[in-house]
Amino acid sequence: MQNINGDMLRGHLETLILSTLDQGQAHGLEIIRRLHESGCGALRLKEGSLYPALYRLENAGLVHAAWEEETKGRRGARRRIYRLTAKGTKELNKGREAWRHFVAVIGGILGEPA
Amino acid sequence: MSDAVPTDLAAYIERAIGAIPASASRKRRMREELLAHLLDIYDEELERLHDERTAAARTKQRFGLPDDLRNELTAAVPWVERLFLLLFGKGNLMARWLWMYFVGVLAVFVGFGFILPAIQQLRDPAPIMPNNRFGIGVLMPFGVVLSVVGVLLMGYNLRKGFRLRRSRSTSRPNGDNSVNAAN
Repeated sequence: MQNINGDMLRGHLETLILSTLDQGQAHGLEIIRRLHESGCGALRLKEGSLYPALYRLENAGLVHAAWEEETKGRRGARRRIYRLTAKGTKELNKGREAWRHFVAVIGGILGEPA
Repeated sequence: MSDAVPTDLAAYIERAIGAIPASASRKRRMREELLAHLLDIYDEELERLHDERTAAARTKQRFGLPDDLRNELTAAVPWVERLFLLLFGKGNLMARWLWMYFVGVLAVFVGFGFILPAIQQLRDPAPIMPNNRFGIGVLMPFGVVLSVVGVLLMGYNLRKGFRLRRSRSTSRPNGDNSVNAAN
């Protein structure tokens, strides 16, 4: 199976993140794990790229972040736990709808593989 | 885990975050969160590879290039914050002088805003605004002082700006100013 890298994900990463948070709140590494598991190992994303997308989502009010209290094993560095807001849920639904439309239109043009 | 690894990872994060035009509190938040993520990856890799150096290298590889990350993080900073830091940021001397130059320009404009009505009153003693309490004796000196201060500010900051630009171009012949101090 061909790997899907960061360039191919551009424009979809934020919706993908919202979708992983739909399963429940999570910190950055957990979001990456969920993305990899859902992508059956085909997603190849530089883990640092997750954070600019998370910050954009936070600035837009689509996710809410809170510091984790436990810092054990990380030399005092805390993780931030992200959860979906009501606005984020709405945006996720819009994103899913837009994706279905995109697949229907492009799929209709490209057709089934021979 | 040896002490060298967190220091190395913190330095790696600093390369990505140090030059971002963002507030100190935002950068602090980014630093802590990204370091926590890197240390988590490092623990995973160390468990798998059983070698600190290889695990640290693999951690950085998984996280991506600091320069790419810096560009992406910069784009994620709200434009209002970036503009504010460009105008008032402590580290950006060039922008500060440019900003002070424009304060000088503004002072000259406001000063002329006082001088011109005073000249008008000199030509035509009938007051333009009958209820205006300020006569030529107030408008003219105030306008002149403000304009002179404005011109001095403009001249001083223009000179400083040119000097700074010249010193930057001589100290960095390759134009490499991408990595600098944190704040």
